[in-house]
Amino acid sequence: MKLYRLIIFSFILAVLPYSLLAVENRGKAVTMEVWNAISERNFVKDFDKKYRKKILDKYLPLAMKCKTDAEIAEVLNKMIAQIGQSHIKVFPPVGFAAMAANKAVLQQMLPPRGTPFVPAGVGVQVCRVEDSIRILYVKPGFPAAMAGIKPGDKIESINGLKIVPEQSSAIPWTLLGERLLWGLPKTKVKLQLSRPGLNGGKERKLSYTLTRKANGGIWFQLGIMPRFASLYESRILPGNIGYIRFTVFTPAMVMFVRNDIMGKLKNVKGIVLDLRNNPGGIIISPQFLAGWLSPKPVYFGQLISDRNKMTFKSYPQSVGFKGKLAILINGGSASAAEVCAAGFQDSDAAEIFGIRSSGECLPSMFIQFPDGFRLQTVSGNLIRANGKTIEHVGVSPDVEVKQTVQGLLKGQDAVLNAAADYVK
Amino acid sequence: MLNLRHLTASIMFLAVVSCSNVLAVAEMTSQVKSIVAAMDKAVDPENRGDKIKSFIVTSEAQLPQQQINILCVSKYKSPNKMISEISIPGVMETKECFDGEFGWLYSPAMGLVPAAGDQLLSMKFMAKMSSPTAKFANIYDKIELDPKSEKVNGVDCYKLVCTIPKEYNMPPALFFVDKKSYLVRKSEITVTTMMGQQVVPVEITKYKKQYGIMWPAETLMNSMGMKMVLKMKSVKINCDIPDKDFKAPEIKNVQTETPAMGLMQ
Repeated sequence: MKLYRLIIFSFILAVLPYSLLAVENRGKAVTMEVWNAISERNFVKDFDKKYRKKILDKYLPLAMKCKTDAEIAEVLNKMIAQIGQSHIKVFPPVGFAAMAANKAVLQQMLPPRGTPFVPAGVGVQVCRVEDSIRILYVKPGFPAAMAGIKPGDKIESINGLKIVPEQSSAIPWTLLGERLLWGLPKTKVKLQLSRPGLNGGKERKLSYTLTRKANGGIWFQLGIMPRFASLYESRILPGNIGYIRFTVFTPAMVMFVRNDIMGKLKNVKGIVLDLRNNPGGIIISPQFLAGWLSPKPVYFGQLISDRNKMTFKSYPQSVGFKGKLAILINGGSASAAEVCAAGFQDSDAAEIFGIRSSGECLPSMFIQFPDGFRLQTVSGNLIRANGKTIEHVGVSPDVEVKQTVQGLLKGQDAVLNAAADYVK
Repeated sequence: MLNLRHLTASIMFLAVVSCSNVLAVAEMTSQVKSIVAAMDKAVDPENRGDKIKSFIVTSEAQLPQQQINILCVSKYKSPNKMISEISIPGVMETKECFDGEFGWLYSPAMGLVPAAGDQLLSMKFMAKMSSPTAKFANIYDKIELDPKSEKVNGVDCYKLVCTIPKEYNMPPALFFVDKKSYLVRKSEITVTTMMGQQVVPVEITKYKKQYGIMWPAETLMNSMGMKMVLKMKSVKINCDIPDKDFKAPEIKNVQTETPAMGLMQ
């Protein structure tokens, strides 16, 4: 018996260093593949030389100590943060578990990739007012409207997840809030809200369980990019003003705009394009979009990579819209949404309303490694038509308009109203 | 932000390069003359290129690291009509065409964009280059041999510097020619696209004999940090391609369900 124990003990002793070594090697291997992939593609000259000692040498030993893929991803994302560029992220092999915010979104239990289904929502648009996420718009006929949810209501939690915008998050809280409300048709979502009284009245706590309803959105998926729900909506506002909003930049969304410009919105006086909380998407989409929304060319600037410079500009379509255009942005407008707003602004093709955009604007790509890790990394720099960058700076509106809680409670979307007044 | 337009532009170019087997004579030294003659023979040993009046090449481009597949159909009709149709199923489709006189680009999301200036000149040159009957003498003004030979994927190659006629306003094209087989292993041509002047380096990793001619069956491009592999699926020779296939489409309203359905996941 003793001999048997000794054999097992010896076996553990013998195996342990190897298994530890394997973990250590995985951390090293993943770190190096990620570092090399970033370094090869980055627009910063002599990237490796510049950052290896300062960043890689500091984080490599930490990654080598990690025991799980999630831990490795966490260390690598901390390492990447030191580079100071947006659009670089490491995802561990199993989903996006290392990223707390995305993890919450994934808890919606979407079916496996490739399974046909339609996304659904409760029919609200949200916005950030100071340190709170609030209902901005309630779509008539949808579950939120039927339940009595109103603009100005503060979102306290969604499915038990506290919405705490005062804490920093990998993705903006407005976007997170909207994404948590998406899911499969007929699934339930629990909402905890608080409704301030008008003119300083007493606050009420409200609780709802809503059943999501299909709202015409589609799931967009391209290769290994994370899939996301894309929703398009358009309507005619009082005063014969067209309103367009979509949740992500894809050629398919531009097709909806094209159809509306030639159909439903053909005779409107002006158009308001709502890019608030729009996280971006495919970079050519603003170029395509502008062809339908501006009678003159819109210049979006240049994408500069290692060998090439690519100039992005629109080609006005003869049947495109020729009236006044206003674009709405906020802190949740990022990437291609910022490129779009900046291009229209630099080309004097639209007036921009709202607050400064997020300033996360670099062209990127997704790479799948053989060990299952995925990397989103930067492939170039983007210089807007006025010669400035958007990264870290954002796009400043021509007319700054901030939402107020009292305004929302009165059903007033101050940004939309200001834009609609302009295009009238 | 993902740059799809660059991908499709690159594929269009790849498709054209893949279709061309233009190897012949221009202003050159006797050494270059013998290299070019050997190249000619390597690609078209039975001298069948002259008999080709039209072709349709269907290819599939893959971005292995991004797991994106792209379909490409290139049609050529003698003497200088060509069209490339690129689609990423459910995401985007584009067409780029030179009808012998005018050039245009179309995608349902972008609309119709007529080619002009250097972009039109590049398309014109690419159409000329695509002709299986064309000879170098008709294409390049001058072909020079770079004294330094280069290796492409470990293969020793001659480096030919080809001066494109002034009328096309394009910088010289580079061809890297296998010293043993005399097949082109790599080309580097600078074209003007709707996004400006782009250097397009293409490696030809595999050839396939079809109708007696060596066609580039697998090509590789590494640009903007993305690797793209273009594999030829089929070649049809001397098929009937009506002229209307090269006509610019009219802008009509489109069914929104068409792109949306393909995207549902």
